[in-house]
Amino acid sequence: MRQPKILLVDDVDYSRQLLRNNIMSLAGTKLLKTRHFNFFNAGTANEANILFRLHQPDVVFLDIELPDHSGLELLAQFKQQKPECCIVMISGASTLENVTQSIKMGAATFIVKPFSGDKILAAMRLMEKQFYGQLTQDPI
Amino acid sequence: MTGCKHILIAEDDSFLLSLLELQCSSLNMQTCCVENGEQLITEALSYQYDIILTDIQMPLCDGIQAMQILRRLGYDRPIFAMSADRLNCEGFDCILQKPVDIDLLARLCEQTPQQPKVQLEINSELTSLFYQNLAQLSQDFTTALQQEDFMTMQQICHKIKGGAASFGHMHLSQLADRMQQRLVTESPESSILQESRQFLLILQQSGAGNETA
Repeated sequence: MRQPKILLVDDVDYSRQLLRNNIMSLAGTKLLKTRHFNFFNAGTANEANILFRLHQPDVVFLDIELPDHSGLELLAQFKQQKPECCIVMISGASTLENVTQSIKMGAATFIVKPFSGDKILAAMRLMEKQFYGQLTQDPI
Repeated sequence: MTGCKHILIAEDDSFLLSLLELQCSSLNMQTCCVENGEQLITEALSYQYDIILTDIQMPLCDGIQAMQILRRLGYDRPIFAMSADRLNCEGFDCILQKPVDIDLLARLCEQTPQQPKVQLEINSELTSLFYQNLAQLSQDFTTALQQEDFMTMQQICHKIKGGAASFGHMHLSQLADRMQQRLVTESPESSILQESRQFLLILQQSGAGNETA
Protein backbone atom coordinates (compact mmCIF):
# COMPACT_ATOMS: atom_id res chain seq x y z
CA MET A 1 0.00 0.00 0.00
CA ARG A 2 1.38 3.42 -0.90
CA GLN A 3 2.43 5.91 1.74
CA PRO A 4 0.19 8.95 2.26
CA LYS A 5 1.77 12.19 1.03
CA ILE A 6 1.56 15.14 3.42
CA LEU A 7 2.19 18.76 2.48
CA LEU A 8 2.98 21.03 5.46
CA VAL A 9 2.31 24.72 4.77
CA ASP A 10 3.41 27.20 7.43
CA ASP A 11 5.75 30.18 7.22
CA VAL A 12 7.34 29.29 10.57
CA ASP A 13 10.07 26.63 10.23
CA TYR A 14 9.69 25.15 13.68
CA SER A 15 5.90 24.81 13.29
CA ARG A 16 6.39 22.61 10.22
CA GLN A 17 9.13 20.66 11.99
CA LEU A 18 6.95 20.24 15.07
CA LEU A 19 4.09 18.87 12.99
CA ARG A 20 6.36 16.51 11.09
CA ASN A 21 8.06 15.20 14.26
CA ASN A 22 4.80 14.60 16.03
CA ILE A 23 3.11 12.91 13.07
CA MET A 24 6.13 10.61 12.73
CA SER A 25 6.10 9.96 16.46
CA LEU A 26 2.38 9.07 16.38
CA ALA A 27 3.03 6.79 13.41
CA GLY A 28 5.41 4.82 15.61
CA THR A 29 2.63 4.05 18.11
CA LYS A 30 -0.57 2.02 17.93
CA LEU A 31 -2.58 5.25 17.88
CA LEU A 32 -2.34 5.42 14.06
CA LYS A 33 -2.58 2.70 11.42
CA THR A 34 -0.04 4.33 9.14
CA ARG A 35 3.65 3.81 9.81
CA HIS A 36 5.25 5.93 7.09
CA PHE A 37 4.46 9.19 5.36
CA ASN A 38 6.08 11.24 2.62
CA PHE A 39 6.45 14.88 3.67
CA PHE A 40 6.78 18.07 1.64
CA ASN A 41 7.36 21.53 3.15
CA ALA A 42 6.22 24.95 2.00
CA GLY A 43 6.81 28.28 3.74
CA THR A 44 4.71 30.40 1.37
CA ALA A 45 1.51 30.07 -0.63
CA ASN A 46 3.49 30.13 -3.88
CA GLU A 47 5.74 27.27 -2.77
CA ALA A 48 2.67 25.36 -1.61
CA ASN A 49 0.99 25.81 -4.99
CA ILE A 50 4.02 24.44 -6.84
CA LEU A 51 4.44 21.47 -4.49
CA PHE A 52 0.73 20.68 -4.60
CA ARG A 53 0.66 20.52 -8.40
CA LEU A 54 3.85 18.49 -8.46
CA HIS A 55 3.11 15.89 -5.77
CA GLN A 56 -0.72 15.87 -5.49
CA PRO A 57 -0.63 15.27 -1.71
CA ASP A 58 -3.29 13.26 0.14
CA VAL A 59 -3.20 15.58 3.14
CA VAL A 60 -2.36 19.26 3.57
CA PHE A 61 -1.77 20.98 6.91
CA LEU A 62 -2.46 24.57 5.88
CA ASP A 63 -1.86 27.66 7.99
CA ILE A 64 -4.45 30.38 7.32
CA GLU A 65 -2.03 33.27 7.96
CA LEU A 66 0.62 33.05 5.24
CA PRO A 67 2.88 35.94 4.20
CA ASP A 68 1.89 36.06 0.52
CA HIS A 69 -1.73 34.83 0.39
CA SER A 70 -4.49 33.71 2.71
CA GLY A 71 -4.59 29.99 3.41
CA LEU A 72 -8.31 30.12 2.64
CA GLU A 73 -7.53 31.07 -0.98
CA LEU A 74 -5.20 28.09 -1.20
CA LEU A 75 -7.84 25.82 0.32
CA ALA A 76 -10.25 26.73 -2.50
CA GLN A 77 -7.59 26.12 -5.17
CA PHE A 78 -6.48 22.78 -3.70
CA LYS A 79 -10.04 21.47 -3.35
CA GLN A 80 -10.68 22.43 -6.97
CA GLN A 81 -7.56 20.59 -8.15
CA LYS A 82 -8.04 17.53 -5.94
CA PRO A 83 -11.45 17.36 -4.19
CA GLU A 84 -10.59 14.20 -2.24
CA CYS A 85 -7.54 15.83 -0.60
CA CYS A 86 -7.87 16.03 3.19
CA ILE A 87 -7.08 19.59 4.21
CA VAL A 88 -6.43 20.50 7.85
CA MET A 89 -6.63 24.25 8.44
CA ILE A 90 -4.40 25.76 11.13
CA SER A 91 -4.84 29.12 12.78
CA GLY A 92 -3.84 31.02 15.89
CA ALA A 93 -7.20 32.78 15.82
CA SER A 94 -10.20 30.50 15.59
CA THR A 95 -13.11 32.82 14.95
CA LEU A 96 -16.45 31.27 14.13
CA GLU A 97 -16.18 32.93 10.71
CA ASN A 98 -12.83 31.27 9.98
CA VAL A 99 -14.07 27.87 11.07
CA THR A 100 -17.39 27.98 9.19
CA GLN A 101 -15.77 29.39 6.06
CA SER A 102 -13.15 26.63 6.13
CA ILE A 103 -15.89 23.99 6.44
CA LYS A 104 -17.90 25.50 3.59
CA MET A 105 -14.81 25.48 1.41
CA GLY A 106 -14.18 21.82 2.10
CA ALA A 107 -11.63 21.69 4.93
CA ALA A 108 -11.66 18.38 6.81
CA THR A 109 -10.86 19.88 10.19
CA PHE A 110 -9.35 22.83 11.98
CA ILE A 111 -6.42 23.02 14.40
CA VAL A 112 -6.25 25.99 16.74
CA LYS A 113 -2.69 26.92 17.69
CA PRO A 114 -0.86 26.26 19.98
CA PHE A 115 -0.31 22.69 18.82
CA SER A 116 -0.90 19.81 21.18
CA GLY A 117 -0.46 16.06 20.80
CA ASP A 118 -4.22 15.54 21.12
CA LYS A 119 -5.04 18.02 18.36
CA ILE A 120 -2.54 16.49 15.95
CA LEU A 121 -3.75 12.97 16.73
CA ALA A 122 -7.40 13.95 16.13
CA ALA A 123 -6.50 15.46 12.74
CA MET A 124 -4.43 12.42 11.75
CA ARG A 125 -7.21 10.00 12.71
CA LEU A 126 -9.63 11.94 10.56
CA MET A 127 -7.08 11.86 7.75
CA GLU A 128 -6.75 8.08 8.07
CA LYS A 129 -10.52 7.64 7.98
CA GLN A 130 -10.69 9.58 4.71
CA PHE A 131 -7.53 8.12 3.19
CA TYR A 132 -8.32 4.46 3.87
CA GLY A 133 -11.99 5.08 3.00
CA GLN A 134 -10.84 6.19 -0.46
CA LEU A 135 -8.53 3.20 -0.74
CA THR A 136 -11.40 0.83 0.10
CA GLN A 137 -13.56 2.41 -2.59
CA ASP A 138 -10.78 2.68 -5.14
CA PRO A 139 -7.86 0.35 -4.33
CA ILE A 140 -4.45 1.38 -5.66
CA MET B 1 -5.96 5.86 33.79
CA THR B 2 -5.96 8.11 36.84
CA GLY B 3 -7.12 11.66 37.50
CA CYS B 4 -10.46 13.35 37.21
CA LYS B 5 -12.46 13.83 34.05
CA HIS B 6 -12.52 17.17 32.25
CA ILE B 7 -15.89 18.66 31.34
CA LEU B 8 -16.56 21.69 29.16
CA ILE B 9 -19.82 23.44 30.09
CA ALA B 10 -21.49 25.93 27.73
CA GLU B 11 -24.38 27.98 29.14
CA ASP B 12 -25.23 31.66 28.62
CA ASP B 13 -27.17 32.02 31.90
CA SER B 14 -24.47 32.93 34.40
CA PHE B 15 -26.44 31.65 37.40
CA LEU B 16 -27.07 28.24 35.81
CA LEU B 17 -23.47 28.12 34.64
CA SER B 18 -22.15 28.69 38.18
CA LEU B 19 -24.55 26.08 39.54
CA LEU B 20 -23.46 23.47 36.98
CA GLU B 21 -19.81 24.28 37.62
CA LEU B 22 -20.31 23.72 41.36
CA GLN B 23 -22.24 20.50 40.79
CA CYS B 24 -19.66 19.09 38.38
CA SER B 25 -16.81 20.05 40.71
CA SER B 26 -18.61 18.21 43.51
CA LEU B 27 -18.60 15.14 41.22
CA ASN B 28 -14.79 15.39 41.14
CA MET B 29 -14.67 16.73 37.61
CA GLN B 30 -12.40 19.49 36.34
CA THR B 31 -14.55 22.14 34.71
CA CYS B 32 -14.15 24.83 32.07
CA CYS B 33 -17.05 27.19 31.45
CA VAL B 34 -17.97 29.17 28.32
CA GLU B 35 -20.94 31.39 27.56
CA ASN B 36 -21.58 31.03 23.83
CA GLY B 37 -21.28 28.63 20.91
CA GLU B 38 -18.19 30.26 19.41
CA GLN B 39 -16.21 29.84 22.63
CA LEU B 40 -17.53 26.28 22.86
CA ILE B 41 -16.11 25.40 19.42
CA THR B 42 -12.71 26.98 20.14
CA GLU B 43 -12.38 25.29 23.53
CA ALA B 44 -13.60 21.91 22.26
CA LEU B 45 -10.99 21.95 19.50
CA SER B 46 -8.28 22.08 22.17
CA TYR B 47 -9.17 18.37 22.72
CA GLN B 48 -8.69 18.72 26.47
CA TYR B 49 -12.16 17.56 27.44
CA ASP B 50 -13.67 14.13 28.05
CA ILE B 51 -17.24 15.46 27.97
CA ILE B 52 -19.02 18.54 26.61
CA LEU B 53 -22.27 19.69 28.22
CA THR B 54 -24.02 22.39 26.23
CA ASP B 55 -27.12 24.50 26.41
CA ILE B 56 -29.09 24.89 23.18
CA GLN B 57 -30.08 28.55 23.02
CA MET B 58 -26.89 30.62 23.21
CA PRO B 59 -25.61 33.79 21.52
CA LEU B 60 -23.32 33.88 18.43
CA CYS B 61 -23.87 30.20 17.66
CA ASP B 62 -26.41 27.93 19.35
CA GLY B 63 -25.67 24.53 20.88
CA ILE B 64 -27.01 22.57 17.89
CA GLN B 65 -24.94 24.56 15.37
CA ALA B 66 -21.84 24.25 17.56
CA MET B 67 -22.32 20.46 17.84
CA GLN B 68 -22.86 20.17 14.07
CA ILE B 69 -19.72 22.19 13.32
CA LEU B 70 -17.69 20.08 15.74
CA ARG B 71 -19.01 16.81 14.27
CA ARG B 72 -18.29 18.11 10.77
CA LEU B 73 -14.71 18.73 11.93
CA GLY B 74 -14.43 15.12 13.06
CA TYR B 75 -14.89 15.77 16.77
CA ASP B 76 -15.94 12.33 18.05
CA ARG B 77 -15.94 12.81 21.82
CA PRO B 78 -19.22 12.81 23.83
CA ILE B 79 -21.42 15.91 23.59
CA PHE B 80 -24.43 16.14 25.93
CA ALA B 81 -27.14 18.72 25.33
CA MET B 82 -29.41 20.25 27.96
CA SER B 83 -32.72 21.78 26.98
CA ALA B 84 -35.92 22.95 28.62
CA ASP B 85 -37.84 21.91 25.50
CA ARG B 86 -38.26 18.49 23.97
CA LEU B 87 -35.46 18.05 21.48
CA ASN B 88 -34.80 15.45 18.84
CA CYS B 89 -31.46 16.06 17.22
CA GLU B 90 -28.84 13.70 15.82
CA GLY B 91 -25.24 14.22 16.83
CA PHE B 92 -25.62 14.56 20.58
CA ASP B 93 -24.71 11.55 22.71
CA CYS B 94 -27.47 12.42 25.15
CA ILE B 95 -30.12 15.10 25.61
CA LEU B 96 -30.82 16.06 29.20
CA GLN B 97 -33.99 17.77 30.30
CA LYS B 98 -33.54 21.10 32.10
CA PRO B 99 -33.26 21.51 35.06
CA VAL B 100 -30.48 18.95 34.84
CA ASP B 101 -30.83 15.91 37.08
CA ILE B 102 -27.37 15.88 38.60
CA ASP B 103 -27.57 12.19 39.57
CA LEU B 104 -28.31 11.29 35.95
CA LEU B 105 -25.44 13.51 34.77
CA ALA B 106 -23.14 11.84 37.31
CA ARG B 107 -24.06 8.38 35.99
CA LEU B 108 -23.53 9.45 32.38
CA CYS B 109 -20.16 10.99 33.18
CA GLU B 110 -19.12 7.89 35.08
CA GLN B 111 -19.95 5.74 32.04
CA THR B 112 -17.96 8.05 29.74
CA PRO B 113 -14.38 6.89 29.32
CA GLN B 114 -11.53 9.26 30.09
CA GLN B 115 -9.74 10.26 26.89
CA PRO B 116 -6.06 9.34 26.65
CA LYS B 117 -3.74 12.36 26.66
CA VAL B 118 -1.06 12.54 23.99
CA GLN B 119 1.96 14.64 24.89
CA LEU B 120 3.50 16.94 22.32
CA GLU B 121 6.97 15.69 21.42
CA ILE B 122 9.58 18.45 21.33
CA ASN B 123 13.26 17.58 20.93
CA SER B 124 16.34 19.77 21.41
CA GLU B 125 16.69 20.53 17.68
CA LEU B 126 13.14 21.84 17.58
CA THR B 127 13.63 23.87 20.75
CA SER B 128 16.76 25.40 19.25
CA LEU B 129 14.82 26.34 16.08
CA PHE B 130 12.12 27.94 18.22
CA TYR B 131 14.62 30.11 20.13
CA GLN B 132 16.40 31.15 16.93
CA ASN B 133 13.04 32.24 15.58
CA LEU B 134 12.19 34.04 18.83
CA ALA B 135 15.49 35.96 18.67
CA GLN B 136 14.72 37.01 15.11
CA LEU B 137 11.19 38.07 16.03
CA SER B 138 12.60 40.04 18.94
CA GLN B 139 14.91 41.94 16.56
CA ASP B 140 12.08 42.50 14.09
CA PHE B 141 9.83 43.78 16.88
CA THR B 142 12.56 46.23 17.98
CA THR B 143 12.84 47.63 14.45
CA ALA B 144 9.07 47.81 14.00
CA LEU B 145 8.70 49.58 17.35
CA GLN B 146 11.33 52.17 16.39
CA GLN B 147 9.44 52.83 13.18
CA GLU B 148 6.06 52.67 14.97
CA ASP B 149 5.02 50.07 12.40
CA PHE B 150 1.99 48.73 14.25
CA MET B 151 0.95 46.33 11.50
CA THR B 152 4.28 44.47 11.63
CA MET B 153 4.16 44.49 15.44
CA GLN B 154 0.71 42.87 15.29
CA GLN B 155 1.96 40.18 12.91
CA ILE B 156 4.93 39.42 15.17
CA CYS B 157 2.66 39.15 18.22
CA HIS B 158 0.43 36.78 16.27
CA LYS B 159 3.38 34.51 15.47
CA ILE B 160 4.63 34.54 19.07
CA LYS B 161 1.16 33.78 20.41
CA GLY B 162 0.85 30.68 18.24
CA GLY B 163 4.32 29.29 18.87
CA ALA B 164 5.35 30.19 22.40
CA ALA B 165 2.67 28.16 24.21
CA SER B 166 3.83 24.93 22.54
CA PHE B 167 7.29 25.49 24.02
CA GLY B 168 6.14 26.16 27.58
CA HIS B 169 6.03 29.96 27.34
CA MET B 170 2.35 30.27 28.28
CA HIS B 171 2.78 33.70 29.85
CA LEU B 172 4.57 35.08 26.79
CA SER B 173 1.86 33.62 24.55
CA GLN B 174 -0.89 35.28 26.62
CA LEU B 175 0.99 38.60 26.64
CA ALA B 176 1.46 38.42 22.88
CA ASP B 177 -2.27 37.75 22.47
CA ARG B 178 -3.14 40.76 24.64
CA MET B 179 -0.55 42.93 22.89
CA GLN B 180 -1.90 41.96 19.48
CA GLN B 181 -5.44 42.92 20.50
CA ARG B 182 -4.22 46.24 21.95
CA LEU B 183 -2.33 47.02 18.74
CA VAL B 184 -5.49 46.45 16.73
CA THR B 185 -7.72 48.63 18.88
CA GLU B 186 -5.48 51.39 20.29
CA SER B 187 -4.36 54.60 18.64
CA PRO B 188 -0.61 55.42 18.45
CA GLU B 189 -1.08 58.37 20.86
CA SER B 190 -2.14 56.13 23.71
CA SER B 191 0.11 54.22 26.12
CA ILE B 192 0.64 51.52 23.50
CA LEU B 193 4.29 52.45 22.85
CA GLN B 194 5.18 52.12 26.53
CA GLU B 195 3.37 48.76 26.71
CA SER B 196 5.14 47.62 23.56
CA ARG B 197 8.53 48.42 25.13
CA GLN B 198 7.60 46.39 28.21
CA PHE B 199 6.47 43.54 25.99
CA LEU B 200 9.77 43.69 24.10
CA LEU B 201 11.70 43.38 27.37
CA ILE B 202 9.77 40.24 28.31
CA LEU B 203 10.27 38.89 24.80
CA GLN B 204 14.03 39.44 25.01
CA GLN B 205 14.18 37.86 28.47
CA SER B 206 12.26 34.79 27.24
CA GLY B 207 14.85 34.26 24.52
CA ALA B 208 17.80 35.08 26.79
CA GLY B 209 16.56 32.59 29.40
CA ASN B 210 17.21 29.79 26.97
CA GLU B 211 20.69 30.97 25.99
CA THR B 212 21.84 30.77 29.59
CA ALA B 213 20.06 27.43 30.21
